[in-house]
Amino acid sequence: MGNLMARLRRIPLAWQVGLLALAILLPLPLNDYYRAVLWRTGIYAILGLSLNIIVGYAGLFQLGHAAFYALGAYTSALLNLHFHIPLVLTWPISILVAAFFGYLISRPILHLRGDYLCIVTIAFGEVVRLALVNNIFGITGGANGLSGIDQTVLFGLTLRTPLHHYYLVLFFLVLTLFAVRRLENSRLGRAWMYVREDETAAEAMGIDTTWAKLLAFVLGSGWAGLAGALYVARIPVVSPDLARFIESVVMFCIVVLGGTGSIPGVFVGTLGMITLPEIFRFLKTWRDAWMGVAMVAMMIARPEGLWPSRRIRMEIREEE
Amino acid sequence: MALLEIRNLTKQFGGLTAVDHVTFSLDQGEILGLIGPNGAGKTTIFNLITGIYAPTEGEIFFNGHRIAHPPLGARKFVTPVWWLQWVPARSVRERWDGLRTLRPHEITELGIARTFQTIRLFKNMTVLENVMAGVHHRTRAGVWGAIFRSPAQQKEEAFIVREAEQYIRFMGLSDYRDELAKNLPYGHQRRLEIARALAARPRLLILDEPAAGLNEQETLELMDLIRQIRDSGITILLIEHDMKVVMGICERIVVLDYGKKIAEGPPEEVQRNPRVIQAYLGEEEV
Repeated sequence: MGNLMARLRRIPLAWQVGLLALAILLPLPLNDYYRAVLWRTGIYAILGLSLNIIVGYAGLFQLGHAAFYALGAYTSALLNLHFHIPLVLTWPISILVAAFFGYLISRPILHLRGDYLCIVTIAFGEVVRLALVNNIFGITGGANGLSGIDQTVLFGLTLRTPLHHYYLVLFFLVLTLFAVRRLENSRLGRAWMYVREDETAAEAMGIDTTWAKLLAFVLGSGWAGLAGALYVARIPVVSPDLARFIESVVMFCIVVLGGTGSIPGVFVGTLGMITLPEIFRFLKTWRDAWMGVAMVAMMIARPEGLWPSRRIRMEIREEE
Repeated sequence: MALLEIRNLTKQFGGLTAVDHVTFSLDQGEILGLIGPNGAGKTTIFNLITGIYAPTEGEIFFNGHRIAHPPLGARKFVTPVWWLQWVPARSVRERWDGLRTLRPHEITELGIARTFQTIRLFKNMTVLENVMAGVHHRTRAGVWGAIFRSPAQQKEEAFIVREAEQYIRFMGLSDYRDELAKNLPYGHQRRLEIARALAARPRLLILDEPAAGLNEQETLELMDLIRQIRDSGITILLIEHDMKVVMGICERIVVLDYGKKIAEGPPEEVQRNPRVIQAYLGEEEV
């Protein structure tokens, strides 16, 4: 397309192939612990990319994203436990359930702006967590959560090792990347950008801002549901901890740290928020302290994130 | 029949009456100027027409549609209809739509596009992308089209670019196609706003002080452009402080003062109207 900005941001094909090859080969020389770390990185990268649709593209503050992650995980777990549906078949249902809740919660609050929206999403996240803790309808298992979920069987192959699960997540991550990139450079993606840049002007130009924001919310939430289902695929135990507020904060940081609205930024953010802390586990509690210091320093030095999209950098730097 | 009809329009902000029972109408193919001292309520009327505000009283009709009326307000909770907004079924939605006021984008779809007094471009997007915003409501592609790049979506994208380029050319901005909107000189930003509005293919174009901040030469070019736009069949309603522009291109003028309409007529007549002179120059000391 004649979209210059998009062309500038496009990573060359050789790089794309190289990165994919790296992602495929990287876990092979590593032990199972680090393979699991990579798996976790993949899950959070998917979560980051899904949240990036809401926060980065549409510019809506969403600090309750973990709720949809948990909804996806619980949907998958419950369907498997009660109806013995193979995990693979529960994935689409997880997406739909999370997306449905995304629709339900966002529909009445979309006219709220900025911080007000943020408060509502925090509240929703807590509602979901407390509902799970309090064993709602007697099916969620309370604070202990659910266990005894089947192993994932994919085309007759039982996924047992962290390596299997890593490749499963990698597959969905590539799929997510592909979809998100195309969304970004489409009519819908532009509509999100118009809304983010100037909502009043966007409305006046005939863009249904409710439609745009609703789609951002529904797509983002649904995709977080998939991440939840992928979590269950490896970890046969789900607990309300998945919906903790800190989880939402981590996801939010992944998006903001790397650079809001930037796809490479999400990966940088995931490395910073998930992979590095995991590698530096031996530092124990000091780890969190340094994390905090690093974030403060970064927000002073590079408020636009580590690998920002060009557009967002301009938006942020301009205000100075 | 009048294209735009404003009846008894009133807007109160708390105790302040910004627009006070204003009535006027606009015929197809006309250039109507809306003038008045600062704070007379001109921009408020624009915001009422484009659905950014809902009127306290009165109605606006456009091309047979009632585009503005007082909102349901507290009544919507008395008559229990508010939950209808969640129902996706069309028949139910229409019942809700009949009760609620139109949203700005729906008014744009009916054929009213506008520019803003303080330029409101998408600053960090290119000129092309800005104008593409105007084409948005004439196209349909959604999530599936974007992800699967269906042939229909590809065709539509090409259509959007083609349409946008046409209006960029018309406003003389071809050289700046891929430039970021905020890097354009001021006069070009004003033009870009008009190009973006035209891309929405309106029947009525509303210009809020299009000549503000322009130099002599640019103002003359703008007047010429506005005439061209009118000649292409678009009705124009404009607010302007530059009397040269107003007197030069408007066929009819409506004068507001403290939210009230104090005069209406052709430029020469309005210019001589003692109430207008008084509003602009103040009470004469005796």
